[in-house]
Amino acid sequence: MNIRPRKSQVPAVILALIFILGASGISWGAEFWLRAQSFTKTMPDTGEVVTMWGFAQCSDGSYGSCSAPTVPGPRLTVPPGDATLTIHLRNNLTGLLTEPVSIVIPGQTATMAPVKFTDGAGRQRVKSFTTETPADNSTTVAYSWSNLKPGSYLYQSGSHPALQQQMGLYGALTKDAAAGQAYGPSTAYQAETLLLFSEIDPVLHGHVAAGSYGTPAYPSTIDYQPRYFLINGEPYSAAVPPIAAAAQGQNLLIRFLSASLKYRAPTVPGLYLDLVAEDGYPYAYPKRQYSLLLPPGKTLDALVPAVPAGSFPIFDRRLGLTNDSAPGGGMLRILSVSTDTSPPSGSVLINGGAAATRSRVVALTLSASDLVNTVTGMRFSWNGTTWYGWESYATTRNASIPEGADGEKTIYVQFRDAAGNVSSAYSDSIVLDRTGPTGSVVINGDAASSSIRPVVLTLSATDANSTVTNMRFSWNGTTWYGWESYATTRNATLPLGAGVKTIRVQFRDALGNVSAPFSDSITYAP
Amino acid sequence: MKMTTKKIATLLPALATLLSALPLCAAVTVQCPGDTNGDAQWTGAEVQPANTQCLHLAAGDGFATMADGHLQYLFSFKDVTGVPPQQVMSAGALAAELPGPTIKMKEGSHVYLNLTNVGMMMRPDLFDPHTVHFHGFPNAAPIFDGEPMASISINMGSTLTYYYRAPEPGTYMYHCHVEATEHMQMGMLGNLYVTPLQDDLPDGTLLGSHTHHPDPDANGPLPGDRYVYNDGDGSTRYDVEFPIQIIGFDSNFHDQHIGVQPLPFAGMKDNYPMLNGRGYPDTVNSASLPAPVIDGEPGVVSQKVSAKVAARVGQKVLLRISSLATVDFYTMTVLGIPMKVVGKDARILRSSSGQNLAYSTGSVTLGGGESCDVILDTAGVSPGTYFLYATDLNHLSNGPEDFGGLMTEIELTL
Amino acid sequence: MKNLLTRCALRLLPVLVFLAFGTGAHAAIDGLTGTTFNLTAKAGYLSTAEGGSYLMWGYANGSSPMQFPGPTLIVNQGAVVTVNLANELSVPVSIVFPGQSGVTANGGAAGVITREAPAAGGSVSYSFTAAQPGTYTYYSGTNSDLQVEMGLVGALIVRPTGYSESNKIAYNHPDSQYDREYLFLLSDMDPTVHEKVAAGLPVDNAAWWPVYWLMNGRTAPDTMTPANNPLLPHQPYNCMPMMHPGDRVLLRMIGAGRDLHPFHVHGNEHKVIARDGRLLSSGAGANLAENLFTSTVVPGATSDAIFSWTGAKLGWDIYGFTHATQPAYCDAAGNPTASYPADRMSQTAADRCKPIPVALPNQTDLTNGQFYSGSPYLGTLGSLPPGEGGYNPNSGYMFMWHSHSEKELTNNDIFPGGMLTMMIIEAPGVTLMNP
Repeated sequence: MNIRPRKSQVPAVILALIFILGASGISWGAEFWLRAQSFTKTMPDTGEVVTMWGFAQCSDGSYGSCSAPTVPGPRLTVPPGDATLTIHLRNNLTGLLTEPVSIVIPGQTATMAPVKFTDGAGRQRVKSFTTETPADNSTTVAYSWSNLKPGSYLYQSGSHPALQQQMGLYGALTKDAAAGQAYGPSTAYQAETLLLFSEIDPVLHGHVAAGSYGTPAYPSTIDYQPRYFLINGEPYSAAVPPIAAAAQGQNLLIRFLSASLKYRAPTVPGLYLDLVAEDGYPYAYPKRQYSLLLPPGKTLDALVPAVPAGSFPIFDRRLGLTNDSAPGGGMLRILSVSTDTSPPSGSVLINGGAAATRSRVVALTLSASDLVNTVTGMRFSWNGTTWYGWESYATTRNASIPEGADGEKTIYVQFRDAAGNVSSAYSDSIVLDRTGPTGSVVINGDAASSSIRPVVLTLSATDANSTVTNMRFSWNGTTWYGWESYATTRNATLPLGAGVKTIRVQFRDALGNVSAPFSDSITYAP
Repeated sequence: MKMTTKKIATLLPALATLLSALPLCAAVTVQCPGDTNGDAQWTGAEVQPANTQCLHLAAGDGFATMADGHLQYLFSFKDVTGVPPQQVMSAGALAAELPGPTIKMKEGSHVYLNLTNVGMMMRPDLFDPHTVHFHGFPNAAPIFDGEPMASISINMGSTLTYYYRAPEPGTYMYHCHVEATEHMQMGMLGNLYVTPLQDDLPDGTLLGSHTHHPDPDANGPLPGDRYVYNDGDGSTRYDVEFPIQIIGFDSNFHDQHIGVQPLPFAGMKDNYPMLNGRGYPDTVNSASLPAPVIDGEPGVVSQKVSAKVAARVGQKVLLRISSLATVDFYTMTVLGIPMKVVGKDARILRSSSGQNLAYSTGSVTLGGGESCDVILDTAGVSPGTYFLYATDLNHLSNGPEDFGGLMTEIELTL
Repeated sequence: MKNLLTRCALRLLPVLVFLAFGTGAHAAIDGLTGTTFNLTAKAGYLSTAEGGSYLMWGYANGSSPMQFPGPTLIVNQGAVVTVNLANELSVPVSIVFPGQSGVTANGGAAGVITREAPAAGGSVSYSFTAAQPGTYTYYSGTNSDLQVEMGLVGALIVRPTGYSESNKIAYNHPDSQYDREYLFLLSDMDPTVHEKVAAGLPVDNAAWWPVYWLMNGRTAPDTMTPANNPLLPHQPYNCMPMMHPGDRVLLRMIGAGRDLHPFHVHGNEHKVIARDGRLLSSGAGANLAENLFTSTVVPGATSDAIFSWTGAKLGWDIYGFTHATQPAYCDAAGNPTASYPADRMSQTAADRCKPIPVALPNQTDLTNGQFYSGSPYLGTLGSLPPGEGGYNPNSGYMFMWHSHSEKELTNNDIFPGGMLTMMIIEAPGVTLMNP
């Protein structure tokens, strides 16, 4: 089956179910209906027809509308918020050999009720790890899991595992810790590929089909010998297209799962993988390797941060690379990472959009996003031509306006994404105003003298980059009265004693810049 | 393979012939400080020196029964500690145990392991010497390492005394290394582990944030604090321990051996995989298995080590898992209880800067000669039966018998 | 069954010659240095120790004979490496370089995994920057299931920027410092594949059944004969690690075949410091290193480990010095004197001058190994019956390093053989023959 990178993970059916459950007050949980079925698979290259047992997905408990059975079974994706999972199972195995089936999910918590039988020597042996669903195509058994953990898991039949797992009763189950995060922020990803490794021993399947499994002709699985080697249910052949795994610069999450019975060793010659978890348990530290040991039943999560563009073969270095005896097949795929040419977009604000400032140190607020991968860098310029070096993207940063005259100052920013694409320049401006107003004061219309103490002051002031808001006065240049609102006229009283009286005024602009004192004099001649 | 009682009866004179054919100086000679009567233990007036352990193992042949009833000829060891030296040859004859006796050492002990080669009763044409290789002991010297090409091995009728100071604590293993492919396939294998001195700290000792209580209910039923390693913080504490060794038999190889045929090395394929010398469901039998029946006559009880795991909910269960399989790798999983690996190859998982590197997993993979320490924390786990088994699912077989092989059960009770 | 020492004796004679007279100094890891390598894929015959001879395909150095494994390429960190591959085989071949990023391939023809050199005279060229130090591997990416089995595999070593003869490091950190380094390229072989290829018959790679196991291209005991042994013209590399007490020995392990192998070292644990060319680190140095007695060697994967041995905590003097044998070194109370040799102090101080606390069996009661010196003490020759021993002329301590899947210690049904070699610890002052 073709693998496409998955963005929206939640089938519509489940969304609807969640809304219904939410409305009725039941805690959120994922729910699926599966049916075990026998079917035949024709292997490519050889044309060999193999009997398989696989799971089909059905839309509801009536089992009236079901997909075709597949091996692996349908991928089950549980939304991040769901803490419980219920799988309803029906068993429609047919043919000369049928068995009861069940579902277990190693690594997830469930109450299991093992089923045993008594052998010829009176000893008890387990034949099913949990409750069996009989092959009557009518009984439906519900299996439930609680406290669902995030990660990559295999759901599989827990009955007669030595036979049923090989026959095909398994599939992948995944749950993320949050949208786009496998286990948490350190495992954030934008693209994902799931690779489920499995094998087929056609001799074993042939005996199941012929009803001779468990007879002296083929009494147990001890002689298991796989002849087909599969990824996601299919061997490689020339007709298998590359997997469109990611776009350049994205964090690519590769989930490796094994339903094989033998050891597999996937290797990716052109990339390094950061192994971040096994069996749904995150590691304390990632392991950086280009090769993996994938034992039977194991799941391994690997992250490729900022994946480069290109074609990357991934294959089993245990050389399961044949389709029966025909070479050039088996566990091989090409991961294709497309080039990303779309740059990020964003914005910058100085001091939250303020119009002016009297300090050269300003606070920048940045915001940027990328359609394909992530914004990783930014750089700045005060003239749009000479740029400072690239630094890590952050949403806040302090900056210093370069030395120079007051006036409008513009900051330019460019953003860069994980693929190296650079955005156009975004900018914001602010007025730098460190200078106070200029102005004047005139007493009594510039008269030379006054015989009385009350006088009228005429004031005039302007400010280049701001507005004049306040003024204050002093008769001696040392002791100043308090700041008052600016006005163009003001009454005043000359101090006592005849002689020259000088009024001083300082103006202040809206930013707080204070002018030099301006003055005027008059002679008090009572 | 058929062994008639007549054939066995004719072998006893062969034994006598064998013994009389040995060089005059061949003798069972036990060395154990403080032991004066040569039975490798201290009784009566004999005084055991401090920090000293003695053992006496007899190396020879024997039989075991596979879980599907198939009788298999084997080589291994028998514990003859306590047997007077003049009785060791007959006590060990055709009495090998599968697995060999579990050897438990205390860190720092002076260990004297006496190995007596009692010969192979069913193969009087063979004169194989034997050794004991203490697998994994650090800074070994060849003389006591048990690898015969670089040192010595002991001939039939005589005793070699190994001396070791038990090294760092952890889960090791032992096996004969003479003609390793043959002798190990034939079963000369056993569990071996070393317990840490931290177990003997005074009650109330503070280990980081953990307080050590070796005997919380004063000789009552609660197991006390024991540790896999001298962890200094209680992080490898466990309540109950179970050594579990993975081995495999190729029944064709064993059948050819007793049939005095050339041994099929190239075709070796293990079809009877076992835990502690048993296939499921014998793995969950807590007792010794009944003596193997050789053509109607019972032999010597040989399969004495159970693989059944039992614990109370809330206890920390230590699985000392080792593999001495000669052909395959195996992956062991516990369904329903997380496995926490605290040590590998007898070393605590800790960074050189002291960080705890123990990790949780769903399965551990072991090739021959590898070991790991897995702790199952059963707090919050419902009582019931859980399964420890190999995900190499075709090895859930006892040869041609289904529902067998590498599986055992973990019984959790309240 | 005790029938094998005589069968081994003939093969071991070259060992005796080698150990007794040495071959002079040579690099412990043989290979090609430089930045441009011309490899030719060609056929030749491989010799197994029990007398087998099988057709192989290998990478040769230019016009030199086929060799298995291919030449070990030794380059410096940061070098731009070019590998030109010429093909004399009747099938297309190629090379992949796992762990190297941005490998470009030019010429040749398109292949599924990488560009290939077409059959019978074709060629292709690969280029990459060896950006990071470490141990790597290279092998054919064309029909790998057949071509890797046939022998198209080799090792690649990238020396770190700070490496020099007086500062041997595997990575740019002192945690990777070593005194001697050895290659352990482990592989497995099914001879029926080679016989079918030689006969032009189709091969069924799903029915693979190995009966040979090799270290650096040789089955034991050929692992222990000299490098460039003229009896093994297509298998130039040996596997014979040697050291003195206290040395740090670097093991470069490569899974070159198709099976997993549990590689076990007798004598001590080994500390795995890197995998796939990356230090096991969460920050500085190899702080996440693992101490193991058995490493699982995975096909296609590489690992680096440091092995050391001091004889500590044995409880007795490894040189056999006691008051009775060396009164100048050990006083009457059984304590070392000031004259105790300074170069023999790797063992625990409390163990010096202590005798072995047990008596060893009489000669007639025991079987001597061919590598036994006759004495339990390091550097001491003991008495051995005529015809026994003799393969340990300097009386070193020898430890078997081998696959612990014991089936793999055979050569096509013959024990001993396969994936096995002996590591020698020579007493201080003894010249190592294979440094």
